Amino acid sequence: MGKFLEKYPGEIKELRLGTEGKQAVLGGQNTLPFHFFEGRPGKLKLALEVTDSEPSDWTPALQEFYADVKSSPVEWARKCVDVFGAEMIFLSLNSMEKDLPAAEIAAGVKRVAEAVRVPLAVFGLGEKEKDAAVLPVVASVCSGMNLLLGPVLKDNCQEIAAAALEHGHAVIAQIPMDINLAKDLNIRLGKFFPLDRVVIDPLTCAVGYGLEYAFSTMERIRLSAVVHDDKTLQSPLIARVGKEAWKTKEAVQDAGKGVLWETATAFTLLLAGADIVTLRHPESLQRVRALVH
Amino acid sequence: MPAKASDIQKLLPESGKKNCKECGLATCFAFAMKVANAGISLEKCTYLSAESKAQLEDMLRPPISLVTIGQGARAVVIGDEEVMFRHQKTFLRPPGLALQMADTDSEEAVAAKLAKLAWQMERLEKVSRFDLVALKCSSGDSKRYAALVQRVMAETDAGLILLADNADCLLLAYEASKARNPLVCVTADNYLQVASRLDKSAAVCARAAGLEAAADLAGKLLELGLENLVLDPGSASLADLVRDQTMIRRAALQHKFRPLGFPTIFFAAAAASDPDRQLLLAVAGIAKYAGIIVLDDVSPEAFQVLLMARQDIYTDPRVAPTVESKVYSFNEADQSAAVLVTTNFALTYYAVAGETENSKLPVYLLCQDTGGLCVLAAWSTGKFVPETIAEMVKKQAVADKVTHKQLVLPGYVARLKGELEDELPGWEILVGPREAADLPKFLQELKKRRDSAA
Repeated sequence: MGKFLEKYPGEIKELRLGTEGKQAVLGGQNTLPFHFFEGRPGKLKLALEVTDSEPSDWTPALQEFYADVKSSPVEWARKCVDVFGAEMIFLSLNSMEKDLPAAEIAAGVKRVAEAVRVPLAVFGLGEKEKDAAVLPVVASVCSGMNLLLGPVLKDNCQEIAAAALEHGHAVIAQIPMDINLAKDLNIRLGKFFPLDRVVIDPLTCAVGYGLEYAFSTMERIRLSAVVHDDKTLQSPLIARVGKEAWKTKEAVQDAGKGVLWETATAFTLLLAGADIVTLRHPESLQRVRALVH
Repeated sequence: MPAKASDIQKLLPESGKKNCKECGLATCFAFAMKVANAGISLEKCTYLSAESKAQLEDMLRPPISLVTIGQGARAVVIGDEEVMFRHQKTFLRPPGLALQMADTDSEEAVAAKLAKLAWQMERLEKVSRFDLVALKCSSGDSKRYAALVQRVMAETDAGLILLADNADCLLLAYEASKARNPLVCVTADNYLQVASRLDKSAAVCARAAGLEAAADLAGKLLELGLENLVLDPGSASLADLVRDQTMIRRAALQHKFRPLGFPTIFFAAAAASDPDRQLLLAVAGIAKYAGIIVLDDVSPEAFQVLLMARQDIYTDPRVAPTVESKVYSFNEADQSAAVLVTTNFALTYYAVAGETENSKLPVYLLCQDTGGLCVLAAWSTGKFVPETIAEMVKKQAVADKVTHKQLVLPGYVARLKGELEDELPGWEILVGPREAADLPKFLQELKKRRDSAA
């Protein structure tokens, strides 16, 4: 069977997040997802999502599940790491919807980053002006903490990525499900930002809601990077599964289904090349982890 | 890659220049063209040497054989796939899903699984269900096993997979179910006793531990004249599954390695006993080339997610999924129903329809034909603009269905409001949310506003 094995020219560099003592490494692959038989697959991170103010738009089942901690992002993040075994915390800045002062939001992020021993991803609203106003302040207040900040969009990449660079953070570059847009944004970023400090977020769809688009977009980006050695796409990929899975009709009806939708979506996208998967339910995290690690 | 007519011609009599016309075609090249498109049998050329014929058959055979299991409407057809990655063209034949039961299972367990084989899901205008039942001989008693086979045949038209280590058990079951075209699973230990007693057209699964052993067994079955093969390399973990399935497809498509040129079967039931793990491994099997996936059991929720994932991955990426362009009514829409407009892109429709149902409020939803483009893509290419929306509103006589004159636009095309008001005099155009998830709240508020105005 040896004659059927393949070696690929491209590789994704390792991305180190967090600081001394609580560092984590992801990526680092020179082959396709789970191809242990012919190369070195990447290091995966399964993240649990936490919001920095009460998650009023989460389904009642999830709100109930996190009832004891949902009003304290610090306690919530700690529980996700210490009790549920999250390998990373994905902090959604939903407090930005209330237009709190940027300094106050940033101070909250810093408290969470200091409280947990895993790396932290910090995610804005995806609205270009609001994110460009708040994320640079987060970058500066958390200077040197080596966070993963995003989303960086085509229209605000200057403001956010420049601040991330100055203060030693990595960024999430977000594009709407298109390999060419991913390439364009990375080229734009690459002019002043190291591409091995970029994670691509090509957007995610859940099972039954367009999963195939997310699957093929991720697969194409990863094939270009590894098989075709496209230097502009050699970044780890993030799949924000929790949000998509828990807004499906099925998850809203029934929490058990929510976990199934979340795990099936996460699992499929890991096979397409996702390096970070964000989840909302710890049961999903356990189920996925039991099979991939 | 299909064979080229010019390559076929070279192997015809006198290097394809005989042009005897006895096949009914004007030239050997015309014959070669028809052969390449599978439009005529090689038998029509009576001058073909045995050697050339064998060479041609080899050239014309798809790199992954097409195998049918079962019969009639519920037959499972797998194999003949053409690509490693779905964006390169499409995955063609969705994997057959199988439930496994044993002849030592209790009466209740067997009855419950038989009932599950009748479950079905309708989505995107297609009905899908579990296709196959895998019958395991755990008793070692050929009569007991045959009795299970008989019972299952009487109660379901699902295709059969026969699993027995003992050759006698297997053969008795095969004889009993031959007319239903079962998949007969053999191993290196029993194939010699079994193979000679099977019809040459039988579907046979080569079960082995590992790729080498599976290729070896498939080669031996080929030598015995059995060509409808399915491969089981015995994958026991996620890493095994990815390796085995990738190597088999790669060996077949890129290296034309005949012993692995067959569809595959993945026993998720054997790789994990925990139902949640089994389900996730089955999901992996869907994404990674499995031709048949066997599970021990399935819950209603797992059934739904598995069938949806299968439909997703096997959607043809070259065709945008659409729903019929018409007015859909929800929650007993009446004259007071809110009127929403969106595109006929299937995923938009399903997201909007789901949330509209969740709102429990009466709604008419107009799905305008955009050729399957989503709201923003359709707007930017001129397929979802004030003129086309107004045309649909008029053509469907929406004004006659409701007593009010309010139309809700998707939030992403809020900018169309003014122009659409010009196109539809007398209508008030409202801007809805961008995300379907926000619809229930929007519809509640709309109702409140209407109620208080009234």
